[in-house]
Amino acid sequence: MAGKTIAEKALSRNSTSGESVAAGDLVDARVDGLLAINYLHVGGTYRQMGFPDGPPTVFDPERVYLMDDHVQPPRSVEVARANRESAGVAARLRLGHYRSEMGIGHQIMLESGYVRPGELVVGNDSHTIAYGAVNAVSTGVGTDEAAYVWAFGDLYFTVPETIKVTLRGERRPYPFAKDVILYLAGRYGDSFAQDHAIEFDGPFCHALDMSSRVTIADHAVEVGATFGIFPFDETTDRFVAASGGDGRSYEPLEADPGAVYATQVEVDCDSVDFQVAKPFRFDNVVPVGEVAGRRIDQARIGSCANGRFEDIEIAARMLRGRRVAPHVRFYVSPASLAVYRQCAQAGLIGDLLEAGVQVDSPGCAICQSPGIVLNEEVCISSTTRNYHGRFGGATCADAEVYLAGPATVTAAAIAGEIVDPRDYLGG
Amino acid sequence: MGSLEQVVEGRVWKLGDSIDTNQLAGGGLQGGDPASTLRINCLRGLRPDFTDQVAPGDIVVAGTNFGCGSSRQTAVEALQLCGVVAVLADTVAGIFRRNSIALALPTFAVPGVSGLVEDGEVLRVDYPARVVVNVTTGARGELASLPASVEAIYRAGGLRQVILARLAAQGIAPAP
Repeated sequence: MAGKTIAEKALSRNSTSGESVAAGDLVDARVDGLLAINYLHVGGTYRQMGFPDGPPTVFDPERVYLMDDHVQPPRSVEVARANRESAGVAARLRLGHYRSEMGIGHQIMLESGYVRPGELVVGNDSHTIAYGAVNAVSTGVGTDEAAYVWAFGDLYFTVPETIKVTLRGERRPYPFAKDVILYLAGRYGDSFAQDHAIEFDGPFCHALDMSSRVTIADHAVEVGATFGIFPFDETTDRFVAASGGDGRSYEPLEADPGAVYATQVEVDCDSVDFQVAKPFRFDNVVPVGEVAGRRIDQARIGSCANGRFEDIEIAARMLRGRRVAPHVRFYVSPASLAVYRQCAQAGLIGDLLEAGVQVDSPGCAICQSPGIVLNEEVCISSTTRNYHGRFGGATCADAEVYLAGPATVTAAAIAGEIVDPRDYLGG
Repeated sequence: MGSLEQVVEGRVWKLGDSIDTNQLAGGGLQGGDPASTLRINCLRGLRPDFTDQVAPGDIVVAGTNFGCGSSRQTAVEALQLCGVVAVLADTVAGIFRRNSIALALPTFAVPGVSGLVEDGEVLRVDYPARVVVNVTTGARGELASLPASVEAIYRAGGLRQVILARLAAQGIAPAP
């Protein structure tokens, strides 16, 4: 019998019928956790099903993680009302992990220890896939699917085939994780892993810190993946132990020696240059030199992909003794209040403000429309997507957004145009 | 709303590759209510004529990776609000496909379908016969069978009906 991939193992273990499954099978599987972002969504589904006061039940109040992340602070009366209802539902159903504060749900899930290695987790946001960084098997689902999981704790999955991505090379000061995943997208395309799981492996992978792993796992969805899973190692162990959570036990997953892969891909990370995704696709990637000189109006650092302490530290370090170019609006949003606190304690927030950065509140807004980029403007951003209208909707569909890692974004903010960041990074 | 059993025939709106969820449901103009905001911005950045000219019964045909991006199911709802009754693409992004099942919008990945039909031509989607036909040119393509459990969600009218039935089975909701 062929060995199993991590995805096959997780979905076999959690299969509600107890059957062992393989790639291609359709399976009903028990989920170990549900991230429900923005009560507005799941609450709306229940309202339309005839439950104006919200879900009548919950499959496990300790396993539904309700967060107001995209909508805190609320920007409309409708959202403010939904957030109030959110608190009411959390109290009525005695949810153990309701988080109403500003901050990105995925960051809160990870730093709070709400997701454990080997667990099968879903959430109504595509970047739920990021928990692959801690060896979880996680993916984004729709609102009605989240409403289904909320009540019953299981969901159907098509067991994906798996692509093994081996990251070779030693960990040098750069490239950064963003450059590696952008390179991968540029080389293989934005749907090369469509409906597949990715298992990341290789020496470079083990040398990455947790923040960098989250960047890569988060973006696995940008190349179409259902899951994007890192191996469990000492770095994972330390991160999970430090994050605490409810201390529940877990069992990391690794593929069997005879596991069958759809494809295997190797990347020599040492030869990867600083990468930039040009508008309007994640795979429209070139080395930074090819877009050098492009004047920018706006720069952003933040999001579930690149809004952690390690990302902001790079920006602060590069900005010491320098200033943001006068014509550039540079927004930095820490991914969570915990990240914000960590940055403040390390003095980074002061460094940013001193250099002319506009420090924004934690949350998902940095990756969406507030701070609109007009059609005649150009933005470079470390956030997740550069689609038409990402930062302003259909009326700003021609606004150019370039995606890059935090160093490349910061260098552009200082120079006022896209530049190779090496000159600003020092030795 | 289309259903799997229904044979639909409609004008084709042909789109390119990697049509993302921001283009389908990314906001922009302000409508009178959330539904009209969704409707009037659907594909507006790409095809400003779309929301004015799309008619109930129309069909969207696209290249690869249709619906890539976010998990927002408003991407499916926006198309439904525009009257679109079926989506066919060379390949469909995973979460969009799941959402289209949840909301019972017939969506099919048909490799090569983007070469089968041009914008403005008429397409017949006949799932019972597992065939898609360009009525204008006679060109044909095959529709693969969906898993029985997925067909069952479509037959129920979408995932909300499945939720209600299961809640009823547990005695939490009234029997449908």
